[in-house]
Amino acid sequence: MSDITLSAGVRQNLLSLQKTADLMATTQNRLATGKKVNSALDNPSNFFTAASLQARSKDLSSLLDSMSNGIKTLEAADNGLTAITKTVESMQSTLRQARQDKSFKTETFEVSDATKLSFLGGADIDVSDLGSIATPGVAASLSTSGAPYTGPAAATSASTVIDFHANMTGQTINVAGTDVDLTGAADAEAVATAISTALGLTGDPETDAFTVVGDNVEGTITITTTATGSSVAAPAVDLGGAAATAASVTFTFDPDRFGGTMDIDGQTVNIAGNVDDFVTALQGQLGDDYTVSNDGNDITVTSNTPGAGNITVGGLPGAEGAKVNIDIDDIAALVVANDLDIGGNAIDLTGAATLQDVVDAINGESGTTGYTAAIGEDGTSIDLTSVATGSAVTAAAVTGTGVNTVTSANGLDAIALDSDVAGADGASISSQTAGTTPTHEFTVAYGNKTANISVVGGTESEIVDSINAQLADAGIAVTASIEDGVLSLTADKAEAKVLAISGPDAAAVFGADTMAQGSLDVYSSNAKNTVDRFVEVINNTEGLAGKIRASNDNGKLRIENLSTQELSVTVDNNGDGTSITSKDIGGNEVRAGLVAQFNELRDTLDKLADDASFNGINLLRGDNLRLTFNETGTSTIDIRTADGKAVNAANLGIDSVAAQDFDSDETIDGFLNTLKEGLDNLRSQASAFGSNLSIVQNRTEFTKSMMNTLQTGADALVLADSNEEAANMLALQTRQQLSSTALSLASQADQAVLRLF
Amino acid sequence: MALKVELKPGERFILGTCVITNDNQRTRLYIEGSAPILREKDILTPETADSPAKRIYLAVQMMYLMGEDENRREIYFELINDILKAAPSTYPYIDRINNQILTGSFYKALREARALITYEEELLAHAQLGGAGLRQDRPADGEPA
Repeated sequence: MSDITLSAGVRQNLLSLQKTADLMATTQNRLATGKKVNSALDNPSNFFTAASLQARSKDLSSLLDSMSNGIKTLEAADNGLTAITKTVESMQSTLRQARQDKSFKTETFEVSDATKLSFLGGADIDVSDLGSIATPGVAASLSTSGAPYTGPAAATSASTVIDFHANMTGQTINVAGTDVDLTGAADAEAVATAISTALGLTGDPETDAFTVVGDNVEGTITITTTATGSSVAAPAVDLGGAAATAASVTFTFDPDRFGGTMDIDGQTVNIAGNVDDFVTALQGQLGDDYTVSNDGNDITVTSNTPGAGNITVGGLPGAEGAKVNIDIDDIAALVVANDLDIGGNAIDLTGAATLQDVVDAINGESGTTGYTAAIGEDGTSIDLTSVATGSAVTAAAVTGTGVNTVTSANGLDAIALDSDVAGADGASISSQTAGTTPTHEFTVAYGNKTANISVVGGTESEIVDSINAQLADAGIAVTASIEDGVLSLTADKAEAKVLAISGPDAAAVFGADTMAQGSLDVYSSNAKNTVDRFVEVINNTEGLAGKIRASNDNGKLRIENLSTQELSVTVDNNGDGTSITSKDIGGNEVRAGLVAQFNELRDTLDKLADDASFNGINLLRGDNLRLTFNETGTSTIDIRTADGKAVNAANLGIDSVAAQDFDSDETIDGFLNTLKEGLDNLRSQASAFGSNLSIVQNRTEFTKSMMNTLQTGADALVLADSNEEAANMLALQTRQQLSSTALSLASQADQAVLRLF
Repeated sequence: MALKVELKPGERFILGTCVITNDNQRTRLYIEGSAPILREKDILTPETADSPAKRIYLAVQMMYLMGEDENRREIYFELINDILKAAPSTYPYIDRINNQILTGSFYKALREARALITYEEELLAHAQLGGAGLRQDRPADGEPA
């Protein structure tokens, strides 16, 4: 076998050929794929970096898909809004058309004075007995009821009544400032005459100030003033010496000596405490019949009933004897000494052993000594009291062995009344009455003014004038009058005000009915012509205004139906129900048609909102669209209508209309306003969606460019050759200085705030 | 949450579309709101942006100050693609900048762009060294450098 022996050189060349073949294969491979790094073997790190770049690019492309879907949804919503806006605008033009349309239907009627018309089965309109006032107003008025009204009682005069007493004879009394000498006046009549003479009374009521009347049967003299009224005071009478006087007593109070009770005019009164307490207690116990007063310890009790007699006082402390109080040091020694001496009289104490024995012994000799003895309160002393009483009695001197005088007091006199004045009978003033002015008081309220009225007695005309003057002062337009005994308060004009009477005497004078309501004249027509009258009445009737317009069409009555509904008119030609015709006046058809159009457009609006969906999401229905901007989901945007409310006719405030709604121009104006608000809402919603759309579009563009970059980067990955890269960077730097990119960047910067730097 | 800005005397900063210059005293300001804020040291102008990475920084800065725009976006991506072609190893930095822009946090994007500038300086430093050192070669070659 021939071995193939290769020389070193050939082997070397073979090797290099193999290498070249390998290289070629690699290069062809690379050329075919266009990538520098084909598999992990070529360059592991680059390969895996490139792989991750590819993966990232894919994630971003799926993001891109959802973003473009979001854009489409927004565009669909935008289209829907545009269509809805156009619909609302045509609804507006429909309303404007209706507003401008005035093609109301009319009918003409022949009417005479006796004709009666009625509309829609309502009230009859009759102008036959139309004067100048259709319904006259009522002036509020209130009157008294029951018995004829005569006003309050007349004013009374003042008077004073004197009870006659024989004491008056010969005395001088003072009546109303004039002294009257009653000499020789023996009875009431005589006194009266004397007073009249003294006062210069002539019996003429015009000139006399008083009237004096004496009554012998009653024993009274009555002095009456001629003047009447509450301001007149009772005539002043001073009876002077003719008056009866009251009895009184005076005594000096001594708290030490007065006992437990006293007697005054048969009443037993208790005595206690100091002088002030005593006075108060005494007054309380004696009551109103007496007056108790004191000047220090001097007490005066006066009777309140003038008349003869005295006040009897009993129980005043009586006189007391002298008192001596002794005590004995040693009874036994005294008995032994037996030298007890009372006022010079010796007492024999033989056989006495105890204190009681000594007392008995003294008492046995009381006839001689004039003293009685008793054991003192403390039980060890002896009280000696003299039998004789009075201040003249001096206390005896008591001597004896071991006898000590503790106290020694002279006798005391009885307490007597300092004064005892007897009462005397006489005349007295039995009554004094002032004059009175009875009034009726009530308050009159009319409209918003009130007046307090006070009626005094008098004639009818006086009463009426007084009331009217008071009403005029208060500015109340009400007049009082009395007719046939009935007092009436009537408002001057027929107006819609309330007349009310209240106050203390309101019910007494006016009875239960104290409120009256006035009313205005309802309508007045000045027209003379029958047709004109009809026109006036119909146009002014409240219930028909706005629904019907009447006018005079060349002597005939033309009725115009101002609504979209039919109007039926019933004409009673002769006014008595014999010939009745009925006509129907059609409604405004143009407007009625526009109503239907409006409602149709409204339905379209709702349908448009429902149809604006893309990929299952309808932003106009209130759905939420969420777009994510990066793979981790941390950067998102939520797109939704305000409050998530759907955009439809109801939410825009547009309701469907009925034919009646187009009757009046004002209602149509109201709808126009609603539509305008709805349009504003739509526009603001559209602009909100528009701004969302621009955000999403920006994001989409950026993401697309980024994906491009990633792709480029993945493809052009080469091993980091720092030197090569550095050289490349330098070249790039140079190139960029000449490139248009730099120019545009610079121009952008110039527009910005950077030019300030 | 307010941003605290300490200004040295004479220092300037941009707030929204205004330039605010400090007087000759140290000042501390608290700024709230969403207007763009840039301190003087963070601002590049077309004159000072002379390298590719700096131009990228400028582009991001324009987007931050004036909002995203089609033009600005085009310029930005042109620059990005150029630098990626020249130096693919800058890719991680570019990726991070892109991410921040995508989520709308432009201030952080500026931070990443600054990191890119730093890296570029490193790269260029290699070039200054010249050919004195050994060049790192591709292993697939098998050939000596």
